[in-house]
Parts: sequence; C-alpha cells; structure tokens
Amino acid sequence: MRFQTRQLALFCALAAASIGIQLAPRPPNVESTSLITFFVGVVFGCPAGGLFGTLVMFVNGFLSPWGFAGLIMPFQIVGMSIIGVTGGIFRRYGVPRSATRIVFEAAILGSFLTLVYDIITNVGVALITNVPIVFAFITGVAFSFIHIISNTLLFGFAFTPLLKTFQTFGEMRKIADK
Amino acid sequence: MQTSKRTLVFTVLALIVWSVTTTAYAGYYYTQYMQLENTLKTMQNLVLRVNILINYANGTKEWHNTTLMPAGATVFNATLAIAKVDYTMWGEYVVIDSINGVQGKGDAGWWWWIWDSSTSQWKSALEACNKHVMVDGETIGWNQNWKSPPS
Repeated sequence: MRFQTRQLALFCALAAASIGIQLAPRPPNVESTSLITFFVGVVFGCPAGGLFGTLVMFVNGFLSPWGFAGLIMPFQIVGMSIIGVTGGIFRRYGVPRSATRIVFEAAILGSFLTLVYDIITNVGVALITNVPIVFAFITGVAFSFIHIISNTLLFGFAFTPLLKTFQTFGEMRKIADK
Repeated sequence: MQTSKRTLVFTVLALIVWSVTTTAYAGYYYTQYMQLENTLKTMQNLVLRVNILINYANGTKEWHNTTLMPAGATVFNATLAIAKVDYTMWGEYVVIDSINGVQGKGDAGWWWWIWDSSTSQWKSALEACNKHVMVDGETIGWNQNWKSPPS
C-alpha cells in the first residue's frame, strides 16, 4: 500500500471529514463513517479501507460525544475495518456500470455490513458486561434497526454521487474500467 | 463475477439482514412481553377485584362488578370509589347516611352485607364499613336498612 501525494491528501481529507462528522452532534446510530470507510476501501483498496476504519474508530473512541469508548473500542475498530476491507473487495469484483445496480448493491452491502458491525460490537458489550450475546443483541435491536435502516438509505443514495464526484480522480477511472 | 452469481450473492446478503433483524426484533418483543407479564403478575397481587351491589329499595339494584381497588381497601373505600357517599363519623367508625343522594332508613343508615359463597347467602356485616379490609373476589351489598339483605 503506497500512496501518491494526491492520494494521501485525499485519504487524510476523507479521514478528517469522517471524524468531523462522527464527532458532531447527531441522532444515535445515524452515521456516515461506515459509508466513507467503505468508499475509501473502494477507492484505495482493502488495506487502506481497513486502516481508515481503524483510524477513525480509534479517534472516535476517545473523542466521541457519547463518551470514552473504553473496552468496546477494539470491537468498533474491528467492525469498521471490516467495512473498509469489504469496500476493497467490492472494488476487486468490479463496480457495476448500471447506476441502478450500484444503488441496490450499495444499499444491500450497507445493511449487511452495518449488521455485521452491530453484531461485533454487541458481542463486545456481551463480553464486557458478562451477559449472553443473544440477549445483548436483542436488547440493542432497536438501535441496530435504526443503524441498519439509516445506513441502507445512506449507502443506497449517497454512494453513487460519491463515485461520480470522485470520478475526476485517477483512482476512480481505474475502478470504472473494471 | 458473473451477473447471475453476483445477483445471487446480494440476494442472499439481503435475506441474511432481513432474517437476522426480524428474528432479533421478534426476540426483543418476546422479552418485552415476558417482562410485562411479570410486571402484570406483580401488579395483580396489589389489586383487588371486588363486586359491589347497591340496592335502592325502589327496585333499582346497581351492580359494580370487578371493581378494581388497591390492596388494603376497605368496604368504605370501595363504596367511595363507585358512588357519591355522605357519611358520619362515629368515633372511628363510619356510618353511611346516603348513597348517590338516596338516604338510608333508620338510625343505622345504609347497611352493608357480605356474600358468603359457601352458603350462597348474604351475611350481615359485623363491623363498620371502614373496618372491613376487602379481599380479592369479595362481594358486598348495600341495603337501605339492616333488617333485610340487599337481594
């Protein structure tokens, strides 16, 4: 994973934007970090996506308006890294040419990855608080539901505009060629 | 990846999300149901269901079945809950003068009776209405005098 200067600047700008939005006051479990992390994975590949997720959740763990993440932070990092890596895998298999198909695939991936993220963090909560994992997931299902719905919509409606916006960059031309 | 295979993969992912979230939501509502059922059982121990008859002697009999009262309620409390009552305190004892504007007859005023389910008969009260703590399922009746049962 070697960045050109322009790529590094883009990576840092996306990281700053993601952390800024993540730390801003917002409704619980409505976030754009997953989308941006996934997008970074699509643009720069699996390692960069994973690194981006790790970086953002590490900073978020300390500065989140909901307080210090504590022991749950490693689980958040793993969950968000998986989202970034999946972005890279999505890139590897080729972003579809059809705009409608991109919307549907991004929405489905958004919902699935959010579910995976929530399961991982709920496992963390269960292990930390010593409650059954299923019970932890069931207790938090209302928050998970909001998280999944919001990310499904966000991935579905915002991923394509992001792609189009970033098509001016060289990296995006490579993706479009696949 | 072939388009058909890719479509299949995304369909499976969507189905996984749908099945897991709906199952979790079903579990959530089940646990909520169990919690509320336990709360209801606890509350049921704190609530009495009593039946109250008011016989106005002009042929009008007014039943207040399954009246909910807090545990520890007396006949007087239950009567106050279902009717407009005028009463007089005799020391620490309550005497009911009128119920819903209808005056009792005689010095004793309105008299209350208790239904004995073992003999299926009304039994005259042996204590003031504010001294009898009701039990769940109990049936009491008010009559305008102490000489005859309410029904």
